[in-house]
Amino acid sequence: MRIVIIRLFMVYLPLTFVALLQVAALLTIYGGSIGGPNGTTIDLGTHVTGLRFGWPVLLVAATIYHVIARRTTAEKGEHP
Amino acid sequence: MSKPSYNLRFDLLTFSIVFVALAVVYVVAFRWLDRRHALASLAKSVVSRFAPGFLIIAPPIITYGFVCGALSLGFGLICLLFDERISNPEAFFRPIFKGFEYLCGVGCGYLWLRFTAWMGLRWPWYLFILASHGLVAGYREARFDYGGRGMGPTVTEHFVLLDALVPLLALLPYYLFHARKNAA
Repeated sequence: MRIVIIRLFMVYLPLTFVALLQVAALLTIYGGSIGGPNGTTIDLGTHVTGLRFGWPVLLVAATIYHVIARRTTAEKGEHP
Repeated sequence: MSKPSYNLRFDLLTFSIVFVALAVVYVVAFRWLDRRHALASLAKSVVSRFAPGFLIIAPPIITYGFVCGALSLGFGLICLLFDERISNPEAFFRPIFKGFEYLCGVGCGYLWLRFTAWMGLRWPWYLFILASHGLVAGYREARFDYGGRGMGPTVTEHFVLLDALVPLLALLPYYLFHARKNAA
């Protein structure tokens, strides 16, 4: 029981925090806003085009690479 | 005007100190508990299995949001001690904040490469992580309200390619140190 609690607090909860952080970042990038100069507000949903298209492209590319690499190296017991 | 109040400064300072203290406590506790319960191998297996979910978006957020933000905030708070001597805050702070951004891009990029190598992931992951850093760095900019009376992070109007290329410089120290290590 003790090891479960330690793993929960030291590994799984921090990783969950990181995952939620990413969700918050994505929500901001796709629909949120950020402070602009002199009290103005910049709508990020239509602004940071490179991030809005770049992150999904990187995610898809990394996922494809990761799946293929894990399959091809699984027999050797290596990491992709 | 938008000059931040002392309460706001105090809240930011308190938040930063509490956050850094929690991070230090977590690292110390993790290392101590890792000896008995092998937490590092568990974290490594979870992150490695779901690597695309953790290593594309999170690294630049941590680098530019937390590390670079904390450095800039800390420096700004220190400068409040002698802010009456700073006649033009925007001219004073802008190059320093830009320097922090470049420093974090290269320094944290290098640390992320070390982390990726520790995870046992191969070199394409280096490019994925640094490209993600570049995407964020190309848009990141310091904000100066009313000539520098208020400051904070914001985004540029257009993607700045030169800023985006800076994180790729992290490959240089990484391969320099590893080449020396392998040669030794």
